[in-house]
Amino acid sequence: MFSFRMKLAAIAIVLAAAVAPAHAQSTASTTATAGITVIQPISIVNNKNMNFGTFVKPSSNTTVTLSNAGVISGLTAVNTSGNAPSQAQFTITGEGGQAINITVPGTVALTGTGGSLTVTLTADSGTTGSAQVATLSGAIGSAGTKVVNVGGTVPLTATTASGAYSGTFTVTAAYQ
Amino acid sequence: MNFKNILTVAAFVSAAVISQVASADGTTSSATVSSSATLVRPVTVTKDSDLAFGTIVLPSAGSGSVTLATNGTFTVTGTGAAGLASSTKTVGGFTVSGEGGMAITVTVPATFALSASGQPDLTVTTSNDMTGASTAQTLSNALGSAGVLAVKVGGSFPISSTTATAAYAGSFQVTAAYN
Repeated sequence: MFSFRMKLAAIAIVLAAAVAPAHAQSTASTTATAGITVIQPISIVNNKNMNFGTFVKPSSNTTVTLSNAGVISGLTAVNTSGNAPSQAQFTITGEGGQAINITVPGTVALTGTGGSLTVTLTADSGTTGSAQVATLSGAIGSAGTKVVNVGGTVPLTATTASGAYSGTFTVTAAYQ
Repeated sequence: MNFKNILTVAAFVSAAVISQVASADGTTSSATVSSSATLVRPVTVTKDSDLAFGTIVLPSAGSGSVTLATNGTFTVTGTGAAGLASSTKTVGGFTVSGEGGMAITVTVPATFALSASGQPDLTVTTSNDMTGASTAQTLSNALGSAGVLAVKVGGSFPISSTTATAAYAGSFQVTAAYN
């Protein structure tokens, strides 16, 4: 025969055993992933300015074309010494492999003493006047580049005023 | 609960114990130690969303920081530094489930590392939206029904113009336990 004290001891053992499984489930955990991609700043440098060159005024309406490779067609440039035709060129530098948007304006106004001329721009990065998608060379972890050449066309007429015309335009590059 | 009920419980545990108790006389005992603990739902932690900082552009010079608050506010400081709008940023989200009304401790690491092969780690200092001490959290509802506690985890880490560019990845563990 067990004393009352012994019974209580037995009960205590039983309860401890019964509770143990629940205790094992009283803690839970889960793992989340975290990530970030770190890239270097983007920059753009103007390597070459756009220069159509010098032309003799045409006797009839003629469009002078400056290709993205710097080649003139439509008229023949004269006095090219030190004034050779050249396309505009830009180098974009940023994180390798990153997608970027390049924006080249659709037109640029050249102004001179006799008036103004409108150059319609062309770019080897794609359509002008809106952002074009491109990818920087290389892969993340090192610098990548993208070169953009910009040419254009300008209409000349017999009444175009003689003179020097100039203007500026801005090319923008941005990470997507 | 009387003594016979307790004997029933004992039957699942040990035949030896039963034989000892069964030989006792009929004296009743009020040792009905609360066995409600055995009825508590297990506590679980579910990950609802990972923590993602997206893509950030380093400062052109000097230092700065990247912070994703638990409410989703994303802040990048530093000269020229920015987060790319096109990149996805998400706050870490967790749901702790268990017995309603139970006091729990939720453990979120204070820091964890984001790593990229061959580069120094970025150490993220975490933040969370728990109200009050992490050791004094309470599941919703009351005993007898399921309760939950949603926890969001954000983070912050320093950057500089010389931080190595790379895709960094890491992980951290959130733990919940009944008090």
